[in-house]
Amino acid sequence: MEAAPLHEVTQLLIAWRNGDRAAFDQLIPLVESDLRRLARVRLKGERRDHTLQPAALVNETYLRLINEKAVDWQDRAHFFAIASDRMRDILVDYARRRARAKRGGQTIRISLTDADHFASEPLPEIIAVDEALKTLTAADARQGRIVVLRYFGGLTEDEIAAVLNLSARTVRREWKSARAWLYSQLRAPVG
Amino acid sequence: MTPERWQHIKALYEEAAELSAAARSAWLVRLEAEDAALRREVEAMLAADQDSRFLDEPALAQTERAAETERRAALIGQRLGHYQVLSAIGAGGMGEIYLARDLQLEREVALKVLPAEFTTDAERVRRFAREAHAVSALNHPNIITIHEIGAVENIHYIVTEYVVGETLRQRLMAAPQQRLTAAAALELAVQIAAALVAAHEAGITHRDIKPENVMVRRDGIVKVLDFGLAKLTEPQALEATSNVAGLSTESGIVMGTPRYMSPEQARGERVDARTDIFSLGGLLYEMVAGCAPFVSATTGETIAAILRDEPLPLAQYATNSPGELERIISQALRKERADRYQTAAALLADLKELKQQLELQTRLGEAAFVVPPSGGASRQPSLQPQGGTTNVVTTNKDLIVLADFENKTGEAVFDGTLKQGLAMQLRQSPFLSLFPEERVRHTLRLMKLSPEECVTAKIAQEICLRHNLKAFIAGSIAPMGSHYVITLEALQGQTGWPLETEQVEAKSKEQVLRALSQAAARLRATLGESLSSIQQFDKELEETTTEKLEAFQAYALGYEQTLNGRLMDAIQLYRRAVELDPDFSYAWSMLSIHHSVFGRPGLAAEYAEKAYLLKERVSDYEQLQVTFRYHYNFTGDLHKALDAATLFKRIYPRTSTAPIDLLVAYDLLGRHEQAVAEGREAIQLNPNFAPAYFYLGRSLVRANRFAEAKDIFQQALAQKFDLTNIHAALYLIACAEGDAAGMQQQLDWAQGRPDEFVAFDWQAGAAACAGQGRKAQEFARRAIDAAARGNTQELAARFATEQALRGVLLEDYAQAEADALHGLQLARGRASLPRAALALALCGAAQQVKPLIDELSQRYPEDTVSNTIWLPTIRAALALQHGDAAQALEQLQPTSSYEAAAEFWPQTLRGQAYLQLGRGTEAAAEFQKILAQRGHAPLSPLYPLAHLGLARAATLTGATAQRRQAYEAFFVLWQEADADLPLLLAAQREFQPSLG
Repeated sequence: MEAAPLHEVTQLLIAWRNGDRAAFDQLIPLVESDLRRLARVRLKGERRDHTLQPAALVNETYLRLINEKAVDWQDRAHFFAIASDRMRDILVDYARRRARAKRGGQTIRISLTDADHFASEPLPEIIAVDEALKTLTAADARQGRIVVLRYFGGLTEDEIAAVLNLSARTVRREWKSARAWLYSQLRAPVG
Repeated sequence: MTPERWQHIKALYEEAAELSAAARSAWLVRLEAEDAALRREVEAMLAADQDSRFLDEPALAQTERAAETERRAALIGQRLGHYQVLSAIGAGGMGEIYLARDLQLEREVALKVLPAEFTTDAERVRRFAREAHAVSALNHPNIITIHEIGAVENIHYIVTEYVVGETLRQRLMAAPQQRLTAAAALELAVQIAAALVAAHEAGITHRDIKPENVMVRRDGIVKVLDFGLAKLTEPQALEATSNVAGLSTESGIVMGTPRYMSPEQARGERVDARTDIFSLGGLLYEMVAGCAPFVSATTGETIAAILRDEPLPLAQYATNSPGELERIISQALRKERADRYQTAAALLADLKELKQQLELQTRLGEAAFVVPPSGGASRQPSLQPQGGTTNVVTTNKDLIVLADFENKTGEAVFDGTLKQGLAMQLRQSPFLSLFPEERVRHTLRLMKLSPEECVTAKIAQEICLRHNLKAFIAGSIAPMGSHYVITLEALQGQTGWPLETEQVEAKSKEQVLRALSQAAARLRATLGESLSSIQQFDKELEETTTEKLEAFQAYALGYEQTLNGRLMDAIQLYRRAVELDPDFSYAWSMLSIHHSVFGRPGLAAEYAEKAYLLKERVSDYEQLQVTFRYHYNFTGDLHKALDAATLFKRIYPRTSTAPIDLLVAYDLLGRHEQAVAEGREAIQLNPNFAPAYFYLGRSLVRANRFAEAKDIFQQALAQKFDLTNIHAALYLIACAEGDAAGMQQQLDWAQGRPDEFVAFDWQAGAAACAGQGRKAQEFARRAIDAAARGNTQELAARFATEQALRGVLLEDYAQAEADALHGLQLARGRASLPRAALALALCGAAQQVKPLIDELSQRYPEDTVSNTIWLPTIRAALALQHGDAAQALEQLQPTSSYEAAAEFWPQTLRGQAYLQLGRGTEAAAEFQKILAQRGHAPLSPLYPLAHLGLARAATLTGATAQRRQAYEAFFVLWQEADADLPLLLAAQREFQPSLG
């Protein structure tokens, strides 16, 4: 699948801001395919000595948008929200399927063309974070958003601050307690 | 959890997180009293501080890591084609690498799986495979051998030899401060450059030289990986996209680290071999500095630095790195490729030169002395000619002529002795160089004088005039009561005016040599040699030669005969010298050289060892030569011989023997280009030294440059250097070129000479090469008998065992076995043992081979040729006889870098093994090598048989046209072969089965 040309995404964002609802419907699949493509490329892990970390790779897509002067803050925040959510869906879905495959103990044919076909260790942490995050978001939506942007979206604290129009200090404090709470949910000894 | 409760917990947590550990416990105890559940929750959150890595990594990266682990694990235990994947051994430049077992050949291999992104374009894969195979086929010791490039169910993989070692990256990571010493870095860089030279000569550019693509074996041998692979990973339209972004994620392909990219690569331009030179420069920089020359936080910035910045000076990282290294690196790292080294060979030459310099410094101890710069004049104040107005200065560019001593004593013992003594004394100076004796004699002939004419002061001056030399030395000895007075006079070459006179007195005849040494040392100083140089290279004659004047005289007279070309007489005199003084190293050395010339390598080795054991008693000049000869003739360790010769040449750059020593070692190591260069230098230094012509010509023959070789030989013959070896070489060339008249000319020359029997050996070789078994046998018989009668048993043994090998090839096994055993009876030496063993192995007489293998390895444990060629080849022959072709291939692995001295046997056996395994392409490659290198053994029957091998390989691969051509070429070469040769009949049946 080809990458969506950047200007197309930008134009859709502008159109959408100007009240074109249909533009948004077109935008989402474009962004989603872009993210899926990135995820696919990365998941195949074709190289280990790359200089670009995967998070940076994702960020690069984001940054391309951040630097688009034509799109205003509101739109970008919205975009990151959507993109991070999509990334969350993709990765959680992937982790669940891994877990199922493992449980089912099916023999999986080896193919290098599709990472989805691999027998795998489940990725329990991602699933558990996803679950716990629902509880946190119900209690504090903004804090939940920070976790999604950082953990699933791969944004840095400064970027999150810019996107959510908060101070970097606030983002750091909120992330710290959210992380601590998630830790208590995932790691604390039972009972 | 209600929002309110969460805000409460969060506030408590933030309060607690601020506290110190002690305060925190007290705080928690208070909270417990208030609300036990709340305390548990907050405490559990505080525990997160212990695990800073929790959630630190984004989910995508986590997933990626997990997927990668699985993917690697998934292949383990599986089979891909006939490879069983055993374990993951790392990730290379591209794709995962596994240790796997080749189930067909029963050996371990490295298997790299290529990511699917890079294998979708079949044409690209084909192009890559073609390049990779071409480079691998070069069989270069520093290029990894590719066994196969294949695909099973869309999984593309590359199978290579399994190298036990580490990548250069790993080595750097393990080194202190991630960097190596200049010497260690050069050691590796020289090998990488050598690999590039070979690949570039074959027209292939690596394009992705970086530490991850260089393996370093435990023994220090470097293997460069992934030639041509970069072609697969480059974006398709690299040439078209000239923007930097085109290299990163635009096309969905993340390029590798850009750190070692050349500017033209970074710009996305077309690249050529010079891109590898830039990358190697970067690599070398990193090895010494501990970090890459261009490195930045982001890909974009790194690329910008490559295009724009100059790297920091090396001295910033490694204070003691040699300035020359900095120069080499910066020349490799020029932004404009036209400003860089233009070839890897030029870079390699500079790297080697520097490496040798560093080694020399280490060995001699840096403080000891500084090698005089060639052509420079770092000397004591110049001397003033007495009574002259011109300032005559001898620099080390000038050659000095020695006149004969004027003997006014009437005592014969001084005749010839003192001149030779003075020559030996002056020869140890790296500063002064004597006009070679051979050139003196040549000039005498030009002057219509006898070459043995006494060189008076007048004649010496005339020689100076003819050759524009600046000085000559005339000496005399005169009686003074019971004492002797020795006078040495240095005179101006052009005018004959005296420059300097030294006079010393000897109280007795026994002290004459010592007095001569003192006079010579003083003369060296006044001629401009620095005192430190004289101190470093001044041993007195008496301690370096012999205390017995008679022994010295015998030696001096022997040397005279050597120069006159009367080698037999010379041997007698040297023999007398060692009888008079068994500790006379020089005389043993001369005996070694002479016996070597007479085809007695056993005696040559024995005497070389004797000379070597006495090496403390000779001058540095002689010591270097003695060391070379010891390794070349006695231990057979060619690398040590090469080291000794290199050092010799470095200290005495103007002696013509040093390049010849280097040449013979290079020749055996297959480094013909270097050998040729040394030969040319030797001739330049001393155009009247006959053996130099023979050796240079032989190197040219070995390099397949027959026309140039003939030219050199003709030059030698024109000078009346009528060496048998030169005629032998001319015979070989004529035979290889199918020039019957030329062959006859050499046979005519040999007729009636005392060593005429060697011509029988030539003819035996030519007959066997033409498939004439009976004729070969007859000539060989005559050669063997004559050599045995002539008291050259070793030569006879060599003839016999060579004939045994011919017999094997022509399938006369009974005769071959008899010849091999006969050869062993005549002499068991370096030449006969391995050939007999190989012949017997090929005859199927395995039980007789084992003791021969043991004898070879015990008697010549350090012999490079024996260890790397003969023993593996003999073992491979045994394996082939057992029908174990895979084992044979395995055995032959060590021979690959030494095949120049192997007379086509390893290539032939490897070709046979591949034929047995049905691997036609690889078999063809081996036979092609033989056909491309006829000069290595022009008379070997393995040459015509390589055509037959090629034909059979082509049958396997179905290359019809090539098959026909190869058979026809074979039949042409064997058109006069014995018609009943089974081999020939079989070939005819294969070619046209209908006639069979």
